[in-house]
Amino acid sequence: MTEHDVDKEYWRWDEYHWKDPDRNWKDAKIISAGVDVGSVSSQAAILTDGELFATANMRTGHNSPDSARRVMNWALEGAEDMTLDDIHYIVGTGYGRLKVPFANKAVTEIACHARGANFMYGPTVRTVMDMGGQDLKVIKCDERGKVLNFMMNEKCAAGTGRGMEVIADILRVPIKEIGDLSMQIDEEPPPISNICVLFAKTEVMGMLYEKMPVNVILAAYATAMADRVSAQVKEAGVEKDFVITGGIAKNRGVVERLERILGVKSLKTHVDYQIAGALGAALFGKVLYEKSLKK
Amino acid sequence: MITAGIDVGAKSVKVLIIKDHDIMNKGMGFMEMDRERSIQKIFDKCLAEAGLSKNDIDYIISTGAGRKFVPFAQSNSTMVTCDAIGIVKLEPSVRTLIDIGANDARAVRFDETGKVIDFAVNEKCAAGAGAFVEAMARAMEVSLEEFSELSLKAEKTIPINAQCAIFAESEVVSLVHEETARNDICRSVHDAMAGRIVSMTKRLLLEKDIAVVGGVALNKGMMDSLKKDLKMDFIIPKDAEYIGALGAAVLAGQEMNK
Amino acid sequence: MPHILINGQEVIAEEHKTVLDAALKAGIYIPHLCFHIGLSSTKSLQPNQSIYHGGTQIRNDSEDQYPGCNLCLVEVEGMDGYYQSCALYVKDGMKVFTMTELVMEKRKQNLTLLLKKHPHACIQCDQAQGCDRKLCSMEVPEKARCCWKFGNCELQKVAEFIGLEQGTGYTFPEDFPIIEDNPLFSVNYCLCVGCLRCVIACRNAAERETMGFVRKDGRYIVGTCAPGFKESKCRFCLVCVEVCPTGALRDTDTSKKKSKIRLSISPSIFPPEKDESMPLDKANLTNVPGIEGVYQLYDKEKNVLKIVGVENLKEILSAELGNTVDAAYFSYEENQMYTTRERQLLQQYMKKHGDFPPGNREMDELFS
Repeated sequence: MTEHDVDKEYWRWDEYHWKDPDRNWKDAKIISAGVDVGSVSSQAAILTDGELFATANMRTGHNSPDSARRVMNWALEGAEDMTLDDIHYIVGTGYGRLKVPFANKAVTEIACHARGANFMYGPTVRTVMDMGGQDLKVIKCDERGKVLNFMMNEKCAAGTGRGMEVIADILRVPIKEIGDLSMQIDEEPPPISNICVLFAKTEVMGMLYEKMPVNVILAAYATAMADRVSAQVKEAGVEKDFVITGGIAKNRGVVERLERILGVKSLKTHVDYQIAGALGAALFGKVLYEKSLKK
Repeated sequence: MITAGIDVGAKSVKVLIIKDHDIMNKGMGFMEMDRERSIQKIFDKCLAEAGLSKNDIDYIISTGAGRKFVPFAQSNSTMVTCDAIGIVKLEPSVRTLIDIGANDARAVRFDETGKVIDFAVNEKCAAGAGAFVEAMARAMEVSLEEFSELSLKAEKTIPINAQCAIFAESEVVSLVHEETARNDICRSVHDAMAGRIVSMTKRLLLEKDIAVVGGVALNKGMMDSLKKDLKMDFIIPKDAEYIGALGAAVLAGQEMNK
Repeated sequence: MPHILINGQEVIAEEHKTVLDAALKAGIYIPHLCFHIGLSSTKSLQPNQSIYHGGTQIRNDSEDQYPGCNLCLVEVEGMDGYYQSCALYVKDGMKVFTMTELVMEKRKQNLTLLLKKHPHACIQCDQAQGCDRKLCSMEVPEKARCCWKFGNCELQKVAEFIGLEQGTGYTFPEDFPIIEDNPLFSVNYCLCVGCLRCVIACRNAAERETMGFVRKDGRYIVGTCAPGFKESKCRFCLVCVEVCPTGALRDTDTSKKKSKIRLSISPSIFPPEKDESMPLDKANLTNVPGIEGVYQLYDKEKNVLKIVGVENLKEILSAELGNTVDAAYFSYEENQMYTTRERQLLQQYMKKHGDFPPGNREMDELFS
């Protein structure tokens, strides 16, 4: 596949790496990292003394160890001349958490998401809704980011990031523009009637044929998706403060409609919503390293 | 008396013309974007082949998911009704029918006259319909025919964990990348789908004889998996794709005689 | 004391007790719904003249006594046919069989009758696990869908134990009301199967007759003896909620302390869970394959200690031997999607116990 072909994949979201320009890692006492290998995307987060120093976000490949290595290397690439050996402790998490070859320990993504969200949004967070590529998690946690309960659904692509990618592809709209575009409407259209993503795809093709504007179709899909996931989060109960993490959190078309249905606003933050898991893993990494020193 | 039945499915349109009690002609074509035009085209072609014009047809009944898109039909009826009438006309001993189409599947139980007693339908989830196998064949970049043949040569089944067609696509691609035998992947896909069909029929009393119809009935690999999972014998009638259209045409005759 | 044989196992029973009582006390499960250990039998109870569902009065139309749920059937050597074990008294030397083809088939038929008006997609739907019960991709009609008690429901477990007849279909409850006339509990009469456990519990334990039943059009319908619970002299001890095998009776506020009367009732006896555990020792570990899967460790009482998904079952389980202090038993299942499966099992565990298994709480110490 050439670079040019890749450009045509509308579902593909931006892969990026980032580093805090104001921090010097060489001054740090403890450097910890977390790698979250999800079913669709993988993230790495590096902390220096418990503060976010560098991150990277990529698509997961067919091979988990390889995806873990790639995303970690990419985070390191952005982090000046830091190498893997400079990191004191690495925690793997996510669906492929046991396949992070260089990790010191693996922790479940439920625990990491709650911990990460607690760091990102503060101790008032009680309900974390993670809208990932292939699943939907609703996690209840306490003021320390400790998991009290969780509920998840992973049977059906309706309401997941994968479903949104399929629709982006059909409509030929870059995935990151979907949220804004879907809000550019005068009046909310009725939601897409098919729940199944495969059938919704056919429905969307029919709408395109009928010359329905793309933003209206997107609004119809975003509403259907918000309907679907709101039923699940209501089942678990929405306790405030409420936050949304994962790729879909970046889609304001879904988020704002969901908030409207639930009657609750979600907290926002400047940190990438997708790195909650990796960040939580890195935070656990720091504590685990400190503990190992005491022994 | 000449009547016609038109079964407008999600993927294809089936037309069947009956003169008195015999089938005069039948034809099918794929549904294109302009629904009404595709239906018209397929219908016209079937008429022409039979040497008929629209005015020769006394009564037309449409059925299927798109039955409301046939402006020239005098009446329409549900697939459940037409399926039952159609199969009893063709195979009088059948009491239960399993129809697996591109976007839906249904199981119908009826009496000897084709009167429906009970039925179960799935039309909301692609994982239990032909679209599931099609999506997997696409993911493996083989035609449906090849897919079916490959599965018949399989040596073992690998469990497909994903229940959702979209997720199963990723799983199948992963299996291909892991260099799992293609035969085995195809079989596994058929087994997974057969499981869904069987689970749909569970709520029904499966009275013998059983017939399997619809486009998917022509997929030998899939039928092999279904036979193993259902643990009951079934027949696949000839013209298995036309049962709904046949039922509609027979029903049209009954309407005329009223 | 009479000695009897149940499925070949010798059981020493108490005098004047039923076979069902003796079997349950010996740890042999016989499916039952209308019987509750520690309460007297509901069989042969006389229907009331009328009962109420809130403001609606329902009159009795038959003098028939309650016949029992007819699930506890057994066969006895030397006696023809099958018997309700809740009405069969132990006799020295009796040879009882609880799982013969005949009784298993009969139970299935009788269960189907009981479920005629009880929604049971929870047993039939492939997607029930992990379904949100709101939007349905299997086109289960809304009224036939699973209720709040999914996963912890005795009726569901009993039905899974007995199995349903092919062709039971989706069923629709009658248009009975949901009564929410007090802050402590609610009653959804649509979910009631008429087992009368609440009726007998109210009489035996609460010493009231708040709950009663009538027979109407061939069905047994439970209700209150006056329009409201308060008028029916309810003492709100909630024994009825405690013994209900369905989702019909429900605590409104589960954080409230249970009443003394309620605590005095023995817990319901559920069908045995499939026990695939084996002692954690070298001999059993040799048979474990070195592939991906999920394993569970249990203590001596078979309480779950931890649930873990791993890449190599043999390797990691071997490391657990002697390493995890209280581990006495283990079980495993092969699964390529082991992290997903682990999460499912954890979710089920949490739903039941309200917290992670002790061995999965290792992160707890990191929150100080």
